[in-house]
Amino acid sequence: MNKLFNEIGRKFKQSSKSDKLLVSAGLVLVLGMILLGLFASFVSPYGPYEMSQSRLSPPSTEHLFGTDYLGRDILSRMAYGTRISLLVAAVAASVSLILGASLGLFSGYFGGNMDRVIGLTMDALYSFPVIVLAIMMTIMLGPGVTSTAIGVGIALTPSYYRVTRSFVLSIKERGFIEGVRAIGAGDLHIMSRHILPNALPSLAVLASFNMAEGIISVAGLGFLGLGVPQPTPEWGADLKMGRDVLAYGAWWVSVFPGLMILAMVLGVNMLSEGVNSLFKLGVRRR
Amino acid sequence: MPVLEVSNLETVFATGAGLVQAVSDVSFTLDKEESLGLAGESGCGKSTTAMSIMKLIRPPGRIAGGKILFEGEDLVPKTEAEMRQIRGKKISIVFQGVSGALNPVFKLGDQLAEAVLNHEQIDKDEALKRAQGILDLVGIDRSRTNNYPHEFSGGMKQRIMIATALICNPNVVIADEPTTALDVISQGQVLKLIDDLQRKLGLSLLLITHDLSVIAEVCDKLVIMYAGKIAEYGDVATVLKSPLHPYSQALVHAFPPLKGAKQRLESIPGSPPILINPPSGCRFHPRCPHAMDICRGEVPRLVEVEKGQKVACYLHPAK
Repeated sequence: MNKLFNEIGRKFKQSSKSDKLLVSAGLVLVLGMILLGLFASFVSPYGPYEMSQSRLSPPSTEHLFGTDYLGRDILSRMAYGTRISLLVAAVAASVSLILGASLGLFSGYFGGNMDRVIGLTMDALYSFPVIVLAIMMTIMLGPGVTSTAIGVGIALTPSYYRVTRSFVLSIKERGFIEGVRAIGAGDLHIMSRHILPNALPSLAVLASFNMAEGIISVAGLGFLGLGVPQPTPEWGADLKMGRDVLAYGAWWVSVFPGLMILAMVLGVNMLSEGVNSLFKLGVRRR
Repeated sequence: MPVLEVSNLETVFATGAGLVQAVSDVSFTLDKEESLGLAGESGCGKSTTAMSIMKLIRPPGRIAGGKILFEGEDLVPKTEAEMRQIRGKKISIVFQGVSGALNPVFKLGDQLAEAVLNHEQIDKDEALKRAQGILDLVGIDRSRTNNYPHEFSGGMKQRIMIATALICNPNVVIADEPTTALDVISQGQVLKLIDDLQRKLGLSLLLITHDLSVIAEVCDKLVIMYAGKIAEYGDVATVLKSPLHPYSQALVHAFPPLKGAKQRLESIPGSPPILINPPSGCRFHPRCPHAMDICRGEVPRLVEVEKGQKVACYLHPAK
């Protein structure tokens, strides 16, 4: 582990100025978001569901980000919303990583008809925008935190499938695979112990790219009223709520959720782009 | 009692252009603690024979016939699961080309230990100890189990490959061109190592190479293959001193003599046949200076001509 950190440190020192800026800014934003989510209960002056008498009040010393039409403190809802956003995005990324990587491993390793069937299915999924698939999935699975996470996860699966499969195709022809076969290793062992670890760095970067995609999708579903149900504090749903009251001049209800989504996606993107170019992995985003 | 007996082995590859008969009617035996050399030019079926014995031939290739008796048991009908018990434990192989032969993401110790853990119910620490012991044997410092493959030279990697093959004390070791990817000095070291180990451990060794001088140095017996068939088979000293098959003669004469006057090296006219549609009769007849009518029509059988020397050629009828 220590070796890994030293390696990362060395790579960081050698990288260009713009990459350094990218990585550090991304790191600050993402870490800040994670801390905000972890310590939401300390940061928030009120509870996320707590309603006060002052409805739709503009930002003031009492309510730093103002309140919504039910008199709930927007700052508190934003802080708690971080948890939902991070949680759902992380679960979605894990679901798609596990699903995509295992399908890609089997498909690339065994080839043949199974490869063709899985490949066609994945290509068909890949041809839809993630948000459309996510909408279909959440409609099928019903509303809720878990189903949103799984829905977005399945929608993101094809990109992992493709990266893993192409890795398997190149690695399985390398000499050491023949070598471990010759010392009596089985197929599952070769796939999990010898092929997968070689693909991990690229999958990790892809996962961080997809985190951003996941965050946008979750917020998008919330905005469309399909994601995490109300009154759970969720940025997308709160943004939608803000849009409805824009006509009354209550800009703060929608601007702050928007800024949160922006900051989060920007942070995750900068970090993943930075790491990608730091390690010269050359993973392309969708 | 032979430890390995290959009889009438046929291995074919189905390609778009037709069936390639890569190995046809190959038979030889390997006795315990004996070392057998398998020689011939590129594409003559040496490696395919080795891969067939390991049953590592992958589609579109398959073993189409014959028997591979290992300690009296035929390997050809065995399932993949049964073969996994044998590979690395009973029969192991050292591959040609070392650059890609080790997994770049694992430490050396882990890779060696894996070879043991595939077959024996021991814990990781014990397996790592075995790995260190085997490294001593091939002359690599035992502290280097913590290094990754890129931290070793080509010659060292080849030694590591040999160590991997030996770690489970296999009954038969196949070395498929173990020195091809190395420079001359490393070649010498690796060959000496193989020779030493063969004597010291009493290995039953099948050494595949296109370099007759390697076989002269290491082996007891010699098989010369041409176009997927055995041309000549016998004791190394006999065959190299007085080769009888025109192809073996040409092969032996293509090596410069170390002593005596310099001579012009002979080359064999023509090129090896494409095995989708091999020449009728003796497969060597289109390039053979002594070709007769019978060579074109009928396939010569491998017969014992002198004691310890079998030849498949109509110039040399059975005694």
